[in-house]
Amino acid sequence: MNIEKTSKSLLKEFWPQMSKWTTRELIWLGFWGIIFLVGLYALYVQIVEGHVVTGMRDHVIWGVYIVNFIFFIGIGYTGAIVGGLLHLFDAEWRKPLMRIAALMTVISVIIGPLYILLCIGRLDRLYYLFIYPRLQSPIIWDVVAVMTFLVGGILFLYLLAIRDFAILSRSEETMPAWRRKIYLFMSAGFINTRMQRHDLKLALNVLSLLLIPTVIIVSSVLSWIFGMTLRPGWHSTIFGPYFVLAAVYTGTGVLVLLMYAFRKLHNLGAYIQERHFVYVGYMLIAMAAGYGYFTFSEYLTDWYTSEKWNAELIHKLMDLNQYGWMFYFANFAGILLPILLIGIPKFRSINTITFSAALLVIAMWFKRYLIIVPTLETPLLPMQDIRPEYVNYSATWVEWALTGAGIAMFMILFKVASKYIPIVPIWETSEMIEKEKQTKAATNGQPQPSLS
Amino acid sequence: MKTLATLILITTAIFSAVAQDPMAIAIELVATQKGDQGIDMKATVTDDENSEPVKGLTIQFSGTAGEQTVALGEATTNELGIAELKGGNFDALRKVAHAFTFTATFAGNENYETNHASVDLAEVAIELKAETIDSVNTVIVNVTSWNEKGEAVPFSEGEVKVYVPRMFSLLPIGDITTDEDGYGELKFPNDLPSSVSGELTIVARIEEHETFGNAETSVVSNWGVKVDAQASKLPRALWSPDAPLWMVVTFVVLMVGVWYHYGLIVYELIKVHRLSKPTDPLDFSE
Repeated sequence: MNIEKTSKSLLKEFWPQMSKWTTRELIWLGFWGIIFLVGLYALYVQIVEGHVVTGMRDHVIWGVYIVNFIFFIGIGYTGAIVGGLLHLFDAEWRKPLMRIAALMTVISVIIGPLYILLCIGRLDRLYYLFIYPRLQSPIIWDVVAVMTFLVGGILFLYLLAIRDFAILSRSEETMPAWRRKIYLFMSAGFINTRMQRHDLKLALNVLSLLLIPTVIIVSSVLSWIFGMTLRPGWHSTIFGPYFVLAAVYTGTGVLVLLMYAFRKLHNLGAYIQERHFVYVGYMLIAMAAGYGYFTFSEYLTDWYTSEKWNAELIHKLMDLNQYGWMFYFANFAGILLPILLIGIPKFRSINTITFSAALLVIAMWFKRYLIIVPTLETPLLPMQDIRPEYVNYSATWVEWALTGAGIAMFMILFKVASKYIPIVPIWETSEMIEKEKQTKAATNGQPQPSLS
Repeated sequence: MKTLATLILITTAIFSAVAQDPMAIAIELVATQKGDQGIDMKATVTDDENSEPVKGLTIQFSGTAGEQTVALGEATTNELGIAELKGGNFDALRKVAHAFTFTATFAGNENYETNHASVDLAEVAIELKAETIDSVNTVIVNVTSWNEKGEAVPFSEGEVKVYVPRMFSLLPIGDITTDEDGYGELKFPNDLPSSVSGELTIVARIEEHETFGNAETSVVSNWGVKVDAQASKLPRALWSPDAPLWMVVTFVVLMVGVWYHYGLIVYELIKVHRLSKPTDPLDFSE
């Protein structure tokens, strides 16, 4: 295999994009920068005036901040579990997507917990979590789990990037000396000896194997914050697997959107191909079916038993004058449409898969909203003699601005990261290209049926 | 220079004059008769302009019956603008008459104008008993008022509310309407938790009556269900002091398992690092 030649060629192709900012990119960065700054102003308003500037009150104590937390954390879990599984199964086609998956993990898990900080009224007491932890509290489980997972995510991103750092540090491309030194340092002395390959592969295998149960545990722990609470719509044994699947499903949708965006923005059509969208699309169908089954099972059980508070909650969710439109959209666009659009071969294309992914990502955000807000508006003790705004939650501009700031931070961090690490892994993609060349030569150009 | 100094002097004088203009205040007074325990008085002071509470004003409380006036005491307003007098002794007034005027007065200072508020009350006495009648815990009230001749008469058709004080507020138990003899009864629940002693304080109140205002009395019963918070074992409760052993073991095993493997990965990276020199070229030979 001529990996050296192929990797040089790939780097030559990617380097112009990595070495300078185009006007279009700067405008794009400026746009998200402004949204981020508006969010910072909203944060300033919230700190100065207190949480009264949000829609959260005594009864509905959680709003879009927690929705965003679950949403971003879920996306983060996906990169690790999908990346880890594909790595362990040695699916060759995964290689161009691994960097996006790993970056998605780290960036999302950095942004997600920031929403918890926005939700806390007394941030000055945050350190109490660490000096007075109560092991019985699901909140503590979640804090420990998220921090542990973040370390794993960073390690995963780093291990996958070491060989590219080695290539970049020894490349013939022009770059500042400091940048080359950082690449050299980050390459951890990797020069591709047999022992180094063995050690790196061992580390990656261990981490991939470790990340899969870790994701399942940390995602379940997050669900138990709700599941361990005696409230209609929350206290459910299915919440652990339900959250795990929802997280991976949403994250896979975001992965498709990122694949589409970088394919277009960085002209990566030769590496992020239609087959990648189709394979990830198949994963989406399987997850949509599973998620649909869980959803049906969850609501059917609550509806059938019709306990007083559960029945009230179900009514709120299905009533078009209350949360009905959101509920039907979440299930239709989040479950049925992706199955139909990707499942029927006639409709299946890069555009429809991306469209389905965009729909399901929005739908799954609404789904998180439906899990949190209507339940908090349906307490077991009736709310009496209280102002209407205390009973019904409605997010304020401050919360929307900070939601926008989180998305902007995601976009900016991804863009900045893509300037320092190739979005398509050079080494691994070179290996894939060379292997495919060999296979093609061995089969006299006949295509292979296997997915790997 | 001289003109500037004059201007400064004039401006200072104007500002001083404006600053010294005292602000009007409003006083709201609530008085609660407590029989032999005297009278509780609560004055709430707000400024007239913004209706904001005024802190730090000394309020003098007094009572009048007929021609006789007695000073009951004084209190200073807190950050909520509230000044409270507990158990003001007005026995001297009760010897003179059975109708009183209670007054809260602020004498005025350089910042706030003088003002006062009064309430007119007729005397009422609530006798409260906690008795077990035929194995039923019963609260009995006997309410007496005084007519214009100064004779004690039963307070009939009167509404008396019964409470038990809990941690933050009064727990309503029920209402009693007195009969023509001023008597009334209420069955008391037998499942109210109390401290280890089993004691429960029972409070009977007449609230915002047009003639008597507020009146209150209390009695201590032993009808509470004894609860020893220290002796209660809460092995499955989140608020129990220690986590269950299985939880600690699971947590430690999981954490050690994950972080051990993280350590293993870092060790492998160190091994990778030691296998070459920074100046070595990439090896694509294999």
